[in-house]
Amino acid sequence: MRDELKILLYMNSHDRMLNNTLTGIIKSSAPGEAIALALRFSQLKKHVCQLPREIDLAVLLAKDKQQLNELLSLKSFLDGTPLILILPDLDKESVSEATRLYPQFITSIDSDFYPMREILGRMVQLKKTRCLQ
Amino acid sequence: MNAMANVLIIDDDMQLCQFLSQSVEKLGHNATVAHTIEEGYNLSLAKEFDLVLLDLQFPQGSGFDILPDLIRVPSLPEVIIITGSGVQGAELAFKYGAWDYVQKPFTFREIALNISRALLYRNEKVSARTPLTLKRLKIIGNSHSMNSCLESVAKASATDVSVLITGETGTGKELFARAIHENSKRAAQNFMVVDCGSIPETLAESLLFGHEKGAFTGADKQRKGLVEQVEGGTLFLDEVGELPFTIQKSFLRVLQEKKVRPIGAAKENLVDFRVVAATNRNLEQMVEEKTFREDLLFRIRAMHIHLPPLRDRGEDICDIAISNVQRLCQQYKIGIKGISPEFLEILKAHRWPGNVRELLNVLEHSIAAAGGDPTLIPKHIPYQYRAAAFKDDGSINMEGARQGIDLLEENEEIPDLSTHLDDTTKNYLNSILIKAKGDWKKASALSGLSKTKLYVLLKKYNLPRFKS
Repeated sequence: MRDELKILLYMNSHDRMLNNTLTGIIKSSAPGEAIALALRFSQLKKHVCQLPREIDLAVLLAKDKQQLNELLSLKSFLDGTPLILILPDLDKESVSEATRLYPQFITSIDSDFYPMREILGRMVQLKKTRCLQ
Repeated sequence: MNAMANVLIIDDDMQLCQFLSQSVEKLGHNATVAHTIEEGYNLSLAKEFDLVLLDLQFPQGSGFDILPDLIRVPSLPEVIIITGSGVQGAELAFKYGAWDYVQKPFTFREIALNISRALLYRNEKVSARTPLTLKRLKIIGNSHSMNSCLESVAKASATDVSVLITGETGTGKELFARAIHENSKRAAQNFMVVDCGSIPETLAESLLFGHEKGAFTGADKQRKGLVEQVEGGTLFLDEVGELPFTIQKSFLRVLQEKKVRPIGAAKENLVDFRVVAATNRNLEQMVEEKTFREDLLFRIRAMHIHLPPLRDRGEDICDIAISNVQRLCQQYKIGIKGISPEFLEILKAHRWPGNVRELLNVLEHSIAAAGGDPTLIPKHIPYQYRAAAFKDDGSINMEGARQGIDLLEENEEIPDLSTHLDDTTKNYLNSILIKAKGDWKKASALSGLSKTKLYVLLKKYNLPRFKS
C-alpha cells in the first residue's frame, strides 16, 4: 500500500524550455507525489512494461508522428492508466491516432498548457482519492 | 435510426398539444401537431413518424377510427393513446395495436417516461439485426447478468441512441462503452474520452465546444472542441454526474441540435457524434437535488445498461482470472502459468469492493510475485487478500488451511495450527494498521472489530497502537 501516487512523465525531446515547462507543471500539479521521468523510449518501456504496474498516471509527449507511433506500440501496456497526451499538433490524423490510446486529455506542444495544468491537478486529486480511500 | 425521433401529436385540445409538443422537444425530439384525425392521418402518410400520440375524443369522431390504419402506414409508428376514459379505453387501445396509453391528466414526467420507453422499444425493434459476432474486447464472463449486459451492448451497437452505463467503480463502464463503439457503425471513427470529473468548470465550455482566436484572454489560437474532434465517432462522457451544472444546458442543446458554436465564433458548426455516458452516481437523485438537469438525463439515457458488481456474478471470477492470467503472461512475455484451485478459491471468497479492476490488480501482483514459478498458488496473492479470505470464512477454514499448506510445502516446516492462526492474524492487523493510518474509526470500520477488541489484539501481538 503506497501513500503517494507515481506519475510518469515521458519527454524524449531536446527542447529544454519545453522540458522545463512540463516538469514544472507536473511538480506544481502533483505536489508531494512521486514523479518518474523517462527521457528515452527505452526508459518509458521499462516503466510501463513491468508487473505489477506502478504508474498511476502518465503524461506522455510525442514531439512528432514517429514518437506517437512508438507510444501506440505500447497501447496494451498503457491501457488502464489515465493518460495525458501532448501531440505535435492537433490535426485530424494526429488526434485520431491518439484516441486509440484512450487518453483523458489531449493537447499539443504549441499549447499554453494552462488547461493541461488544471486538468492534471484534478486528475491527481481524483486518483488519489480513489486509490487511497 | 437517428437519435432524434419524429413524434406526431393528434389532439384537438390546443393547450394539451402545446404541452405535449414542448415535452417532446424537451426530450430532444421533433414534434408535429395535428388538431383533427383527418389531418393527423394525412400527415402520417406524408412524413415518417416514429411515434404518434393520439387522443381518442374528437368532435368529428374517435381516435380509434384511424388507429388500425395509423399503425400500418409505411413508417409503422408506435402509438400512445391519450385517454380520459380509464381502463376501458386502454383495453381498446391495446386491442387495436397501440403501444401504450396515458390517462389524463398527466405530468411531464409521466408522459416523458412513456415516450422514452416507446422510442427505446422502437429503436430495439428497428435494430433487431444485432451483430452475429460481438467484439467483446476484454469483457469476460458468461453469467446470466453479464450475458444480459452483452445483449444490451449488441442492441446499443446496432443503433445510434445515447447510452447511459451505470455501475460501481471498477465494473468496467469504459470497457463497455468501447465495446458499444467498436461494434457500431462508428467504429472506424474516434472514441473520445471526456473525464467530466477532471474538467474545471471555468474551462468546460472552451474544452467541449472550442474557441476562436482571441475569444478570451489566453486564446492565442483557434481550437476545436472535443465534440468536434470526435469526427463522427463516439464521445464517452465518463463520470457524467460531474459535468458542471453550468455547462449542462449548452451541452444538451448541442446534443439536440447537433450543432456547436465555439466561443467567439460567429456561426455554428454541424457536428456528428454519438454519446455514451457513464456514472457510478444516482443521477435521478441528482435531478431531485437539482444538481443534474432532468432533460439532459432523458437525453443521455435513451438506453440504459447497468453493470453488476463482481460479487453478484461470482461464477465469472474463475473465467476472469484464467483468461487474464493467460493474457498478462503473453503480454509481458512471461511463460504461461497455471492456476491452482486453492488460488481460485481465495479469489472466489473475496467480495471485491473494487470489482474487476481490483481483481485484475491482484492478478498482476500475483503474477509478479510468482516470478518463475509455473503455477499461481495462494502465497502469490497479496497477503491482505489471503488474510481477509481467512477471516471471512471463520476461525478454522479450509482456505486458511490450504493456504498454510501451500506456504509450508515450500518451507518444509509445519507449525501447529495455533501458531499459523497467530501469524495470519498478525499479518491481517498489520495491513489494517497501514491502511487506517492511525485512524481508530477507519481501522474499526475496516476490520469490523470494536475499538476495545482491536486494542486487545494489537497489544497481544505487540503491534503499535493508535495514539488516542
